[in-house]
Amino acid sequence: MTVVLTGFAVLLFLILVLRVPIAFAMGLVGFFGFAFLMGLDLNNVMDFRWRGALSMASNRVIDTVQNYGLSVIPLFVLMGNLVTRSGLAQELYHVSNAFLGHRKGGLSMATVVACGGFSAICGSSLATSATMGKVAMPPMRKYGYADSLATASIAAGGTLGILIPPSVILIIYGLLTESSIRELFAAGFIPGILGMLMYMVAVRYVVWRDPAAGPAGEKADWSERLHALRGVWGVLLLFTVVMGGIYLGIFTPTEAAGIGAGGAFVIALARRRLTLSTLFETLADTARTSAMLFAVVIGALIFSDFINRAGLPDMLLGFVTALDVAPIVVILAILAIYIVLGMVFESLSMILLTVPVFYPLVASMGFDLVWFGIVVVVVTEISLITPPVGMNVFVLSAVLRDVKTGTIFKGVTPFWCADIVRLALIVFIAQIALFLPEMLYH
Amino acid sequence: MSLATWVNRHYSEKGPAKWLVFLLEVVAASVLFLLMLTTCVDVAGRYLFNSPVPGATELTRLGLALMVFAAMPVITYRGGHIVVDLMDNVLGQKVMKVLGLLSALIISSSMYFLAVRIFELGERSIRRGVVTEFLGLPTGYITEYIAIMSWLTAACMITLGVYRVLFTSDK
Repeated sequence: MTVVLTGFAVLLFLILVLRVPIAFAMGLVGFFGFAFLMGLDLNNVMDFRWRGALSMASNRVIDTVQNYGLSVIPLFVLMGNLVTRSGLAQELYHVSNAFLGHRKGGLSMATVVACGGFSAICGSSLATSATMGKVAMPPMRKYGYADSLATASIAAGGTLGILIPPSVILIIYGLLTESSIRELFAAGFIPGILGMLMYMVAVRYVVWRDPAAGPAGEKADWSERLHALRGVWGVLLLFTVVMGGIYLGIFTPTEAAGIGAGGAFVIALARRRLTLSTLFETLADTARTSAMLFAVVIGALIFSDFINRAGLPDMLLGFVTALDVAPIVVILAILAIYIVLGMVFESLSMILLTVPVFYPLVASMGFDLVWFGIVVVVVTEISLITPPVGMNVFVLSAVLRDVKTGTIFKGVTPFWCADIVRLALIVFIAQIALFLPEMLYH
Repeated sequence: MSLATWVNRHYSEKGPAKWLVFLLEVVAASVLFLLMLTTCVDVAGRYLFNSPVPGATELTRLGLALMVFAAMPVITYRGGHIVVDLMDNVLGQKVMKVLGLLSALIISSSMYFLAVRIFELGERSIRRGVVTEFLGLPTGYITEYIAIMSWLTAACMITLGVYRVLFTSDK
């Protein structure tokens, strides 16, 4: 136990105080922790046989970068970047606005829906906030929406991206816990839609309290709506093919990702948004993001080799058993930890640091790891808009320089409450997450 | 626009470093593009013409390693890895620079020592004649490539990375 605790203390010191990149910090602590368990101590540093620990780490590197299943990461990231590049955010917003804009708070609701749709394909919450910030903010300003409501609906809507499949965070969770990515993707769908609906309720609540915050826009008739739909059918089709293909078992996730990236490439070409130069930038940017993600995954895997070998899962289980409480209390305690961590940690770091620790415990208490994955991702979504460090809010205020973070955080409160309600629903009614995977795969 | 002008405009590095970075990114970008094409052709071939690309899985695995490690030197020395920046406002510029140097040292030495072992593993697998199942490609070479790129990452980090920490002021 002391070894693991020391390891954690060193890790936190490295990443928080010394500002070492999290991938290398986790890898190093994992490596030295592993060496320590193999008999390293202060007296034998010079003549210690490093080979065992080095081989463990080396093999993690070699195997991870050649893992066929992991090619979904660059391909889905590429799909998202190409879709972003093809400028579809505007059209998506236009469509949802044509359907929802005439209601009270309608433009905000349209923003939530467009964010959900865009982030589903783009897969990154931060990119969604940044893109939609530029697209949705001007019309909402034009109709006199309060800054707090307008920005909050973008910031909150953007968080949906890491839950609605395809989602890179879900892939990484699946990798760390060895659970099925297909099932995780199926499980994320209904909670994602639920999130969208609850955010719309939150918008209604704000408008009910203060009608001036979100006046109704113009009503679009059906011909205008159909016309608007024409701009996005390509992307809707792409999403349907990719996700439908995965759900129905026609494609493996890797194949679906390849098809998705290829389709997005065709869409971007057809919309004349690609030159050789922008294509190169998009590809290089995707390669960089992927390399960064692979680095953190490798680091996290080396670290989890260490904590597993040190027997942390058994110790935690022993500790929890000795407490003699109901398993759900343990889950609630874990969630409380996540919410606290979420106040300060960035989402991916939080998942990498905690999932290797918690998942063996959760599994041995008899919970479904797919369900736990969805719960973890929902908590992470909440962390994106929780002060003091809500990354989505920060990104948005960087895009909209004239809106203060404080204003956004204030506006986000009803959305945050909606998120907590959704979290409770998913925790207590596991079927919300598990219905789809069970129906499709069992 | 000539290639040189384009590279000059898009890369802020100095001198030959600019071309090294550009070359690495070209490799990463083209491999990624091929990765996408291979998967698409493979799927289309399988479902439409009943003839998948032979060894597509192995090509994908190979491409993945090529791409990730071509991009690794660039993102590492540019500080592209995720850091937890909670304390940034507390620490101040000078301390941040010192910490940046420390990180550079930690990263480059860990990449260096790890690569030594990775290279040994690559040599061993070449010696033993390990080949991939379907296409019969010797796996040792890609392992050695990983090691060599890790050394390059270490080298870039300790030179370009340190330069970047010392002479660029963040935001």
